[in-house]
Amino acid sequence: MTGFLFSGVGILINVFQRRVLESAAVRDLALLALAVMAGIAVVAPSGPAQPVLVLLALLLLPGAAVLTRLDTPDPLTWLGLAIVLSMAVDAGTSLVMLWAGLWHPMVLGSVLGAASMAALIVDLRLQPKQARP
Amino acid sequence: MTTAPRVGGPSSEERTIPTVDGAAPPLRPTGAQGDRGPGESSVRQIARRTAAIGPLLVGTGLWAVSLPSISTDHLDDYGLSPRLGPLWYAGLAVLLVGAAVNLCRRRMSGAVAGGYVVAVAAVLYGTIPLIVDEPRYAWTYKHIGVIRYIELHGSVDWNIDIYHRWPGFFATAGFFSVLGGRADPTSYATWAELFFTLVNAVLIVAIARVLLHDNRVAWTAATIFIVTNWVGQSYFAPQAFGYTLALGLMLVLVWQFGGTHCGTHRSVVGRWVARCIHRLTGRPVTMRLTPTPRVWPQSTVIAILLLLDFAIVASHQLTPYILAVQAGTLVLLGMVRPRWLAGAFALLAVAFLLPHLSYVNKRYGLFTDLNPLANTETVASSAATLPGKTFNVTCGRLLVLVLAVMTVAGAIRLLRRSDGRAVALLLLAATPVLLVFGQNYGGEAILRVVLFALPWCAILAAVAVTGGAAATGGVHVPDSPGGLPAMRGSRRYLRVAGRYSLMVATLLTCAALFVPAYFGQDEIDLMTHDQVEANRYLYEHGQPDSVIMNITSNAPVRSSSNYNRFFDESLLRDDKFRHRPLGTADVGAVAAEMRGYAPSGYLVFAPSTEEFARVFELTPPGAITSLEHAIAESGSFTPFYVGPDTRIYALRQTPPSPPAAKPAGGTTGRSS
Repeated sequence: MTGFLFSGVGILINVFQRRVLESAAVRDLALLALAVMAGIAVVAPSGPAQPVLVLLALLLLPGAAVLTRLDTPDPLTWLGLAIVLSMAVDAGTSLVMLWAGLWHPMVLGSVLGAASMAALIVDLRLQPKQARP
Repeated sequence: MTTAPRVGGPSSEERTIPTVDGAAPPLRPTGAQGDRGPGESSVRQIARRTAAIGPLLVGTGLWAVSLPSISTDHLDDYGLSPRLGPLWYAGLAVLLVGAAVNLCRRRMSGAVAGGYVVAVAAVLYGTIPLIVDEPRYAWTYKHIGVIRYIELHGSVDWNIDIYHRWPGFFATAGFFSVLGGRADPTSYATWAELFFTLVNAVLIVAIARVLLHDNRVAWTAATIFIVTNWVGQSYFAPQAFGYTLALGLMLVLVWQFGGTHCGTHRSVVGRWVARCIHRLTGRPVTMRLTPTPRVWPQSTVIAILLLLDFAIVASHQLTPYILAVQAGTLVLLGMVRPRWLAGAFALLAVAFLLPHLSYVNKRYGLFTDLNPLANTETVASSAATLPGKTFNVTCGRLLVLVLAVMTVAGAIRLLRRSDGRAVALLLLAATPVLLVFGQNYGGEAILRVVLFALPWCAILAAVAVTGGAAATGGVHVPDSPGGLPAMRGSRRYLRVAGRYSLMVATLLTCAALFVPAYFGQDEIDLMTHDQVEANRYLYEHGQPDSVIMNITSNAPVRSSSNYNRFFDESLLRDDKFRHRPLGTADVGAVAAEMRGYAPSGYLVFAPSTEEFARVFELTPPGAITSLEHAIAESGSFTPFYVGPDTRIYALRQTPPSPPAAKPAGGTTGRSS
């Protein structure tokens, strides 16, 4: 029984990796869902879920949006690049906001979220056509 | 509607990395594809997975059970390591053995290896956030103050401190704090070390895969990185942020610009190095970073690299220079093109520095000392007279030595197979050493050297301890354990047993040295809840333009948005209060010292500052307690905050007349 349980955990990890990270369409959908949930969490503060959702959104969405048009060799490289690119985009835009004397994090968050969602939706719309031979 | 293909090739399902002549074999799949052998039954597969995941669950369980019994009260000079308890150590050992066995398996599972990396990182870097209330390290609070200032003012003021001049990390954290509904970063800063370590591990796996095309080496490198990163530089700080970005930049650089269009034949230095290696090994050497062509458009890659570099340049003072030197080294060897990119990195860093040059020169000095030996002195090594401190410092040094030996062994292994990537990795590991020829970086130069060398050392060390495809020079042996060449009989089993033993011994040795080196300063690095609360209260209710005088500098000061309205100093910074008993006779001198900064002030007695004085033997035993008694009984000070382990005394603005000099009876401050 324990063996089946452990096996199940392993299978779940592999399914997550294959279905969510390796399939661009599922990945885009998951990121869109994350963007929506993070937006709701910011608008209607939701306790401990808010920082977690916002952190995930800030760490994945901008980088994922950049990577929609760029190929990566495997899901882990995609993840690493999505995080560092998101950090760089977050840092760059925050700095512009700070130095320009226009410190409005909510506005920046909305702009970044909307731009990332737009890129993901465009990518999602292109997915089925790309898959055709 | 026309379709816009993803730049770089087919969909992920169809993607394979093309190989070139003489290069390493293609990337082996991570996870399920590599898990099930031909003709393997379901029962056997379940048993194998149970054996792979079992130690992961058992080790994590043991660690979780051990946490409630770990106490951080009254730590001695050995730090937290003796308090972690047998269950904690057993959990770590089980996890490391499980990770080692998985890394040596014939069909190593990438998913399981990832699980072990997360679990080992959680044990080593997640224990402290789970057992203490407040972030570790006094410096963390200084960073929190800058973030809170930005949140409040929406701007920076170059006159306040150097952080306002390099605000990339602080602006990003402030952005997150506001959106995340956590205006005070104290609530999440404690998790930064685990977060940065995990992201760095992911990046190291990606870099190792790109460079060596071997999953086993990649995951081994990530595991080694986690059990050797003892320098404690990945906490909530700009350097941790810049370091992660720098790893990301190096990943893009070597992957996109180190491909088939490069080679040492394009560079004089590269040709000379290749000739030297040829003479040494007797074989021609191919010095190319990755066997793949660039897959993204050049303009996109350049834009991404410059974006990453800009974020690094605006966040941390040191990282961009080390990055420029590392990129420059690869360019000199002809392993990275275009050549001008390293110059662009350097130019961006210098251009950002120029407006701040006079400030940096005046306050810190661009070059503190040209003597490399003096610059390798750390704050911890100066306290190595106590047995615990000597032990911890020695463990840290031994860990560096072990890693250096493994690094050299890995490089030799690659060179024996005419693989020129060894030179690139060795130089990437060695270039951070240049730092100690000009800066001591506040006693942290050698720690930064270790930090920046670590990823490249970890990759070479992984080559040394694995028998992966990278180490076989492109001779891929699919069905041999750990990539070992096909052998028969007992010799084969001996080699396999040797491979397992080497991996287990490496990880256990590194972890055994890591624990005292990493947890060994926690008697001064951990801040109590009361101490943090006391400082918060002080900034909230204290009189602006006052001086906050701590006994030593190891205090959670500047954690508030109005930190710039206060001076903060440490009493034992002045030699006249050091290395002698303190008491009633010193009260006047202390008051005068404080009045030298501001007419009003607060004298703080807190555990981390007193412990710092004890560990670094700044005062004889009992001197600080004696001074506090004298302060409490004098008329020059009045209690301002009295907590379970922290007391703050406010300096009276005018010295009292002799009849008023009696013990303060009523506590005017808050008691908690």
